[in-house]
Amino acid sequence: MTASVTSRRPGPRRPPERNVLENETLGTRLHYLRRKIALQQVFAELFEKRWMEPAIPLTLLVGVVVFFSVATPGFATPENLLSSAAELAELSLVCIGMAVVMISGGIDLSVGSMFGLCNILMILLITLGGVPVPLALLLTLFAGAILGGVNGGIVAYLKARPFLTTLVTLIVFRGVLNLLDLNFSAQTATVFVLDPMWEWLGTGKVAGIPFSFVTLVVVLLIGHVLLSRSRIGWHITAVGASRRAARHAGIKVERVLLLCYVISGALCALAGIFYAARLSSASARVGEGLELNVLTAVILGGISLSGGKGTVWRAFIGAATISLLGKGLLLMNVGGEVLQTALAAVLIVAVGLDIKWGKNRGKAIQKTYVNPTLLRYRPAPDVRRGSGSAYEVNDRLLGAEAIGVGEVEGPEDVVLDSQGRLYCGTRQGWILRFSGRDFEHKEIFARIGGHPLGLGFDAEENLVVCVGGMGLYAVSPDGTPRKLSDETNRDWTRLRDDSRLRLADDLDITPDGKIYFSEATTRFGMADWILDGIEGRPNGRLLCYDPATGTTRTVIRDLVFPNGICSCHDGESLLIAQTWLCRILRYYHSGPNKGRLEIFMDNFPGYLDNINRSSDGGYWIALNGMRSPAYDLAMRMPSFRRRMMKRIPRDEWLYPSMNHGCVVKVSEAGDVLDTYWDPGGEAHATITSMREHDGYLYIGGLENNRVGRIKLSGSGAAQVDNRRPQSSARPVSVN
Amino acid sequence: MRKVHLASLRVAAIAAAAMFAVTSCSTGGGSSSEEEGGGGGALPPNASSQQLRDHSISSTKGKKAAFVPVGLGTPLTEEWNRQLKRGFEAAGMEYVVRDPNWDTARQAEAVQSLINEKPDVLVVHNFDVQVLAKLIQQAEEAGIYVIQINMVSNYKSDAFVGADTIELGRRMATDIVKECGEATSTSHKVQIVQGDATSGFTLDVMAGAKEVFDQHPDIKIVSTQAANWDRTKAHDITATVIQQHPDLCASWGFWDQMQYGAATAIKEAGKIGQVKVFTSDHSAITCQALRDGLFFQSYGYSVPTQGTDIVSIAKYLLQSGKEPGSARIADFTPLVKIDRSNWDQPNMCYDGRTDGLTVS
Repeated sequence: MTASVTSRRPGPRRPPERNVLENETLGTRLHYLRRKIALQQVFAELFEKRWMEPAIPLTLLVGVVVFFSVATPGFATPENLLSSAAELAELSLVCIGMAVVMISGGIDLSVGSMFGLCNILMILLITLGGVPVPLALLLTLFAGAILGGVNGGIVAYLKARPFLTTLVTLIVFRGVLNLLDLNFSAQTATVFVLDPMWEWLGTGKVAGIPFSFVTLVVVLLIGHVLLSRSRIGWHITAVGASRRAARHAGIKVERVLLLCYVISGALCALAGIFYAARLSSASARVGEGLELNVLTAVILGGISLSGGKGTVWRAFIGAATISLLGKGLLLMNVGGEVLQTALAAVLIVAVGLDIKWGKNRGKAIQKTYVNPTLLRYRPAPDVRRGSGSAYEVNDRLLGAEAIGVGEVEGPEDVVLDSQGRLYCGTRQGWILRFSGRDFEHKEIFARIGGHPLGLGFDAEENLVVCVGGMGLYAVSPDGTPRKLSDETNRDWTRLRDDSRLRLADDLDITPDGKIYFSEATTRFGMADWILDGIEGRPNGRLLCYDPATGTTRTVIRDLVFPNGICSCHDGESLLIAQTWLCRILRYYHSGPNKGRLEIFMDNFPGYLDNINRSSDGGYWIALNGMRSPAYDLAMRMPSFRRRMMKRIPRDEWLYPSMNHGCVVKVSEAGDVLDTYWDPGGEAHATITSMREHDGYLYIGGLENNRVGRIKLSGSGAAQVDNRRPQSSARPVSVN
Repeated sequence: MRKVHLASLRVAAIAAAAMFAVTSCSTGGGSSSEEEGGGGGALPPNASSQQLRDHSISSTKGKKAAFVPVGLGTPLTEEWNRQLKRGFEAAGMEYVVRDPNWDTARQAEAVQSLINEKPDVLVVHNFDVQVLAKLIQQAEEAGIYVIQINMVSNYKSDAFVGADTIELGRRMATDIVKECGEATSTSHKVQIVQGDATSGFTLDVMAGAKEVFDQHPDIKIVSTQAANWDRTKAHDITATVIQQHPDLCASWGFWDQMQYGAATAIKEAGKIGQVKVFTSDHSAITCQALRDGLFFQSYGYSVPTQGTDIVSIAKYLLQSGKEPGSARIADFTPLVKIDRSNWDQPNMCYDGRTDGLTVS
């Protein structure tokens, strides 16, 4: 069964990450290659990225900039960009205010009126009022906040609908503005303000950049930190996402809403001040229809109308797109009506995309996330009684003693300490310890969380645990858990950030104390790992944690579901069981063959789980499910599996069979020595692990409600410490 | 500058402008030798016809002129645009128009972008007296001749072409006093429908009207509101005013396009025979409204010639070689009273599409 390469030269060459069948033709190889490429996967992983959400608006912005740079000669000049920056700053400030309100689940239609009112107020204060510029500035900002406060007060405390409320205040504020315009504007019109600070507000530059734009950048940075890093920012998002849930969580919803509208008002005031300083136009028209532009910009930036989603950057991207689009069309001498129409078209498209995209993005990712590939198997060995095969079904597990029946849920792995106490993980995230003569005494040894899977003891009697969903943990003898590692070096060739450990599965500790452990798949979690079986791609990896340095590194990547890890008796290699490929790899981590990866055994009749050493120099292998001709065939037909996932509901899919397994004992040479079956699957259907200790074999199962134990007879019961390879210096302890 | 109102004839106005400029040129001494583009400064008096022709053509050919109205789509701005386009292009110049579509901020953007592009001549139609003031100054500093049309800015540029709005206000007010003053048996109530309150046009007309009305305390101004050049607003304001003052004597709106709305409201109230509707400008709608008895009287200000005047002044500026901003001249186009007696005479109203001129 051993298919090792004859060359003894250690090299980086590794066997193909698939089952290589005899007489493989070029066509088959091309077929494999074609199935290896998964554009859908790239799509799904790309769109899963959070930074992809503003990607479409950003692309649009870049498109607008590129288009006008090419089409309009005056567009890409520094002068135009600088003067555009000042105009953009005012629009963006208002957009940020609108964005904050929209993130909180509201809408502020009165921004245009507040902007115009603050503009005229600022001009009145410094021309007719004769107020010093800094004081006028503060007064106007305060007035803006008050206007926003009126909106916020009505929306938050009187529980009025934001749309109608701000529509009314739009008209009211505009009315006040008209009144001021009629009574005072004519008098302001002929006053020239020569205050240098006023001049500087309008035309001043910091390092060549208009002061208003510099202010915008500062507001953007503060807004970003406030929205994404501060308590109040999270409160705003929470209120927008679900007001009721936010209230239940103890958030003072009214106060948060009020604050949002106040921010909007104050930002409108700030924009109005810059506008006033730049143009000194006390016209009643200022800000007329601005709410439409702002709304278009904000929605275009990808801030959802339904609230709870958005950043200040997106508001800025939207504002920049609208502003530059307008500027570009203006430079192309396009008429004003065309510009309005273009904006309206953009708004319709943006709203449509917002709804479609928001609704279907998750679905699109889900539909394309699983990408079946081609896997082939040789005909599975016969396991029927009387078939004469090495895997023949027998009744050896029928008489297994049950430990902790009904008290343990999902003991994926079992291990025993030097005192013969039994440890296993459960799906509640606990480590249970059974002690006593018949393991009748149960206690919760540690509560880690996640789903503890592979177990192992290190030289200091610390229990090292692979926790699905969390990473690698160690529990000291007194039951205190601590994290060893939950991340490794990222694979930069992949779109998905795989530095976090999603599904640490099994581990073993080599004589030099290093902990080798497998991560079965980086694409799926504890809840849906079975989808990896439908996919069949090399998504897993072998990792190594070095306790001396406390670091984790990836040893072998792109493995198809590496599950069981076992340090070989020679102390310089590891066995890696690959579930979906039904084969075992041998990896030399040290010694003369260091770095070599070869196939130890392949074509098992079932899917492999954990591997452990046996006391007589062989290995125990758990089969958690048996192959079936139907599923073997399905694995040859990736498009069939894809069709299956698209067409029929999930509970009717064809999955790898995980409902019946056995324990196989193999020799160091890779020959099958023995099998242990529970033919009816009553006590031990899915077997995920087994551990030999003191003449007994202990059996665990991911879905089982017990740990089983059978007495081994004959040579299998030799009393050898099997927890560590023989080269270990640790003294053998016998209970 | 506004007081330099010399004559009511267009030719005289241009002549005056030219004289003014020439005078300042000669008194400016050496400044005329400063060349501006292909201008070439002053020619000697004995230059040949060929030299004069070359000088004229080289000063304008390939130059760029730009026009920023408050918004196209009205007969007034369309007429200007048409005349400017024809005049500048006939002179071998490039002509662009940027339409802000009645948006102050966008008008400022348009002018700002033009300053960046540095055309040779910039024609602006100011929304209000402030919004472009700084920008016009910047444009002049950037070496652009700026000509303002009909609505003046607080910052006076090289030239202004348009109605003599102060005089217009005076004359109109005088006419209203004649119709509604103490000598009449009316209520003496007058409604004023302004354009934008901060528009140069509104401010100046109001200033002229104030002079007259101050001397006639019998006239009661019952309402002064800004309809922002918008017909619907004028209609809505007037509909309310006519309810409050059913005995209104006159309604005075500052633009025919806008005031048509006010006239409609008065007609709807059944008062069109009693309330006399005054306005200014003379697009086709004025003649129609006079024919239909909606308007009582209007003042035209020779809109079809304003565009050609601007082209003439631009040509003069380009050929003179003067620094932008070194002159401040005004060309007030003649005011023509149009009423129900003379509206049907030839060329009283323009339609923004046709006239007797053809493109060369």
